[in-house]
Amino acid sequence: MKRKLRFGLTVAGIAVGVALVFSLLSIAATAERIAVQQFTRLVGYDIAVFNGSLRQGRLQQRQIPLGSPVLQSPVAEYVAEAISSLQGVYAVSPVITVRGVVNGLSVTVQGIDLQTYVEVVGGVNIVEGKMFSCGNCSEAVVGRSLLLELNATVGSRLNLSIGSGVSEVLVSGVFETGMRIQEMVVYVPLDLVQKLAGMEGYATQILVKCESPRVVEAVVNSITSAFPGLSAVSMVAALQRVEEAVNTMTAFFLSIGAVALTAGGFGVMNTMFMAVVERTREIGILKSVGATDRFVFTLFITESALIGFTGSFTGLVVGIALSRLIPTAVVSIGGARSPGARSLQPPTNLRIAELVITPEAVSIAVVTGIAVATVAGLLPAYRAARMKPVEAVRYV
Amino acid sequence: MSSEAVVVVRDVHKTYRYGRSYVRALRGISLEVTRGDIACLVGPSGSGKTTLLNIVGGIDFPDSGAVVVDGVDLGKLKGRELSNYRLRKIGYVFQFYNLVPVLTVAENVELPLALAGVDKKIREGRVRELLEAVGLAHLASRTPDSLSGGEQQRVAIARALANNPAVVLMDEPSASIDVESTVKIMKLVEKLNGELGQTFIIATHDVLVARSCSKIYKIRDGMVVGVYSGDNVARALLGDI
Ligand SMILES: Nc1ncnc2c1ncn2[C@@H]1O[C@H](COP(=O)(O)OP(=O)(O)O)[C@@H](O)[C@H]1O
Ligand SMILES: [Mg+2]
Repeated sequence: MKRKLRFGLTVAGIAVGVALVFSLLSIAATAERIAVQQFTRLVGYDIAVFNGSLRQGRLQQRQIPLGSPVLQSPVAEYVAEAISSLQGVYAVSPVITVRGVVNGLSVTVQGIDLQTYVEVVGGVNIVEGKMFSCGNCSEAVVGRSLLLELNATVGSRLNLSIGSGVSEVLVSGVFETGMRIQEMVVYVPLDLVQKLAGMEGYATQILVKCESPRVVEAVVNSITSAFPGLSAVSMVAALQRVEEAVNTMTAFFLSIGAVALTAGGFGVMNTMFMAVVERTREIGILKSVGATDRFVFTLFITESALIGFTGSFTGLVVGIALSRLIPTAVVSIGGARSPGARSLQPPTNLRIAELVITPEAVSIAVVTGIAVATVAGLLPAYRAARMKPVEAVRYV
Repeated sequence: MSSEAVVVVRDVHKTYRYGRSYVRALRGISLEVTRGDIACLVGPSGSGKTTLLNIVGGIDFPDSGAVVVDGVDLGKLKGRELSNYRLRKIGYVFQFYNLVPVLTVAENVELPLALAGVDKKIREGRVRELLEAVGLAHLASRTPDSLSGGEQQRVAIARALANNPAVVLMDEPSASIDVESTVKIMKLVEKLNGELGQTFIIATHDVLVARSCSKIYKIRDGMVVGVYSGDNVARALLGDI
């Protein structure tokens, strides 16, 4: 009975470690997937230019008024023209990303310049209806998920308000990306957003497409030297930064898991030492009737491995449950670091991040759990194997 | 029966250190046991009988002297060879029987067969045969702690016989069972000796046990002080052994 309890507690020790390693790895993997998905969505342009500073006084900058729907400091639209004349630049498109309300629902509104947007990003994946017909008409292309939530269809009229500006827009088309987060977006003409938000002549980002991937770094450098107040982020570099952040996070999480697993390992060692002491007599009998050292060693190491096996699978089940419970807000850290991706991250995404369970996370967690228990069992098993049979069989 | 010596013990010394004091358990003991004998080591408690059995059984080691069992010089064995020696040459019925408590009676008997790598099917038949030989076939699936002392002793004998050892060692077989059980056990020993020609070395200070012996080695203070066989056995028993 006491032995069973001890066995159970030891298994639990390993299980906790494995559960931690597993759920933390899953969180890291989820963060990475979200970050990569957001970037994949942005494939098309090479550089995002935005106003990274809140300082006032420069020509191309303006301070954000308090309570403004605009999330980023604006950039003057003429900057786009200036950038397009830089060497190595293929096309440039100003974009505005603001928070808006459609029929009472808070959404992300993207103001795009029809012609240049197609050149730079390659357009929007419209599955029903069509792109808005002109640069300044009151039409919108709405994400499938959002449209469903609004209970609207192509041809519906929606009430769009940005700050104090209000307008009625006609749904001209529906786009799909397959990801709910990305579909909670409304595309409208740039001019309309500028008018509603009172941002005539300004954008929040300028997207740049280069002539070749090889000149991206050079273009980034010439943009930042021409406009020292602006930030130009190469998507490749940004993706690398996110990956670095995710790697750091993974390493940190893994070290937490490692500490827990080490504790679990010491638990196994302790339990196995006690088992060896308790079974001195049995070991002595086995050896005196002819069991080899190796046989006794295998007997005990198998038991440790069994503890590891049981603990790992218990831990895996707990870990899966745990990673579903952990607030997905944590998960969005990876994505939020990238300024370029901010536009695609409406507040609703916090609840929708889908847990990523990779086969690697499963196997790393299970294999390390079994390995830790087995390694922890080496010393006790060795001691059992080397026990002198005569000591064991002599007295009752 | 041949008169070949199956166990030869020559000038064996063994001293135990116990804290700061030393106990000379064996002081140059020598003896030869002939194949087919029921050889008894008879002597008072503390005279070194168990120590000698342990050395012959390959679970304890002499400080000096030589032990040869069935042609095997024990001084030359180590590791795996030693395990193999215990497994195949020796059957040991310990004073406290030493059955594995978590295994059933049948599994205890099966243990040496399994360790020897005997095929599962052959093992089952052999276990049945052995349990029948000791009269315990009906208790095969019981655990040792549900058995009487005499029954446990029989299981230990069955286990000892499993791999057809050259010699079966028994330590104080009557120590913790009643007279009736002792008589039964010794009848069994005589039967196995008569039918299979099984050699036994039995350590005892009980006349009831010693009267079944074909040869008696009188042990005092770690030495053999007298050897009796044939008619002399009965005479030795009348004296103060
Ligand atoms: N492990 C040991 N440590 C110290 N002394 C021992 C040990 N084993 C036996 N002895 C001593 O050796 C002597 C012989 O013991 P033993 O062989 O058990 O005698 P017997 O079996 O004839 O009673 C005794 O004095 C005993 O106390
Ligand atoms: Mg003794």
